[in-house]
Amino acid sequence: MKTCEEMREVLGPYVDGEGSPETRATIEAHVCTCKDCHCEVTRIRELGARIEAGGSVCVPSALWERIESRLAEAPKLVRVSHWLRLRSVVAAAACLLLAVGGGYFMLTQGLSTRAEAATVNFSALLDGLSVDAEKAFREFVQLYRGRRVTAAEARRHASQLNFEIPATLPGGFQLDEAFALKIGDAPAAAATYRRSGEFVGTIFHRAIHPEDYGTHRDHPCVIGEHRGHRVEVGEWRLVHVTDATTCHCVLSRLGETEELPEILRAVAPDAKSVDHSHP
Amino acid sequence: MADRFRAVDHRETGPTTSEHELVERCKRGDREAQRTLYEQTSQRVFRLLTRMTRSAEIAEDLAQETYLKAFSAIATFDQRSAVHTWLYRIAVNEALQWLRRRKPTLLDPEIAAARPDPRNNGHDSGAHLDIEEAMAALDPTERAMLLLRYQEGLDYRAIAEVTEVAMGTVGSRLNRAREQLRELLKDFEPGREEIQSDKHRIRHGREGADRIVPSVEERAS
Repeated sequence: MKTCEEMREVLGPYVDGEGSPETRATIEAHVCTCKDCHCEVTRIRELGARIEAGGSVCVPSALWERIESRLAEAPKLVRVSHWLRLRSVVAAAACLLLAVGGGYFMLTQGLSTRAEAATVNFSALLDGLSVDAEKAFREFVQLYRGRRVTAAEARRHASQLNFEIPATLPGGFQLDEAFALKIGDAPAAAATYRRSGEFVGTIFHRAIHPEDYGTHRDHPCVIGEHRGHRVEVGEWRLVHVTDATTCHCVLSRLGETEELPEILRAVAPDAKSVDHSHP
Repeated sequence: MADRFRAVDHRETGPTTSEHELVERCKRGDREAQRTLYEQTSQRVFRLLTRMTRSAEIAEDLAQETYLKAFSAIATFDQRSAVHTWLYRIAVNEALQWLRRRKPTLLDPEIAAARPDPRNNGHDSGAHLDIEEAMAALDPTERAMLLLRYQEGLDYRAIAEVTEVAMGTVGSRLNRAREQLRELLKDFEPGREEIQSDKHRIRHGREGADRIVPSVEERAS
């Protein structure tokens, strides 16, 4: 039997309709006999009702027309911020940056064209992580014409890049497979590691390639001595740290303060305190 | 309450035929299908964005970006989740990115106005936080989670998918958000004279916005 204090942790999920029928029945029996927990359930419901009550809005009538007019533009620049519309000086500067950046924000259309594009498209990989991360990684490798090679061959294939594919990673991860990739016309490489079923994937590509995360979001991060960026999907995180020539991407479920710093040190020896951002 | 909006879990039931066909037509660039999808979902998306940003104007901009991004990336949408869940994810990402880009301010003016004035011995200044102001003081991701649950009626699995947090942490984060919200609302109740302004401290949040949160000591007491 749970105490009231323990019960408080599960009352929210209970009110929200979560939990198995057995768990819910246990909580319900307690709530029926405990005045304090009954009051707490009422308070949670009231708070939910207050949050819900603030949700009346009216969609602007011209919104679709604005979307449709931008859909008709080609090529499609999909990210034009609020400030771009409002401030001509900012707009001019941003347009210049967009031109120099070579279309960082331009989205490619369709899987078939992605392999040819200079942008490294991580969206399908990230979308697939919650279902089958290893399969999603394999599909990413196939998308960029990956062929299985030895670690030494992968390094020779992408000899202009600065990375390592060691036989073992700190923490006891063993090299499973290495791949030679092509991103656009540029050589790239990838490798997979395993430790008792735990999977780590690494990808190395030219730093000048922009990265597209689709509908996922990218955050700056500091991991050990490395500054970089990460995209999180559930328990998985794709961390990327960049040196002057190479972006090193590590896909794992490892903790950022425990094993990941050592692994980044092993695969990206020269991408440390300086974050060479993508264009 | 919000159960009538409960999201459909397509991993168990699969998308409805009509939704599947609609998405497939959108993948082919069918403008009528895009408009239909917009009409079916824009109320939810705009409502969520308005309450995340507290600005109809900003929400309109972000809704544009949400749909443009969705139609550009819909080829990658595999329909394992409901299409509106997928759109929520894009919209939440847009809102969180906007909140991060926004120039940090010490406090939102209306929240600052509602805070007890230390020069008045911490007594209530007469201004009070309403639910929207209190929500604005929460961690933006947790604000999104509360809205997705109580306004949009999503279950914990869908909330995890939209906010990209681990499924096992949704319940505890909602508990924490509710607790903070209640503390904020309680402390600013009219006539509550025992408010001590030093109970609160300003903390710089992970998302970059400054927020009022109860101190650790206060929560532990």
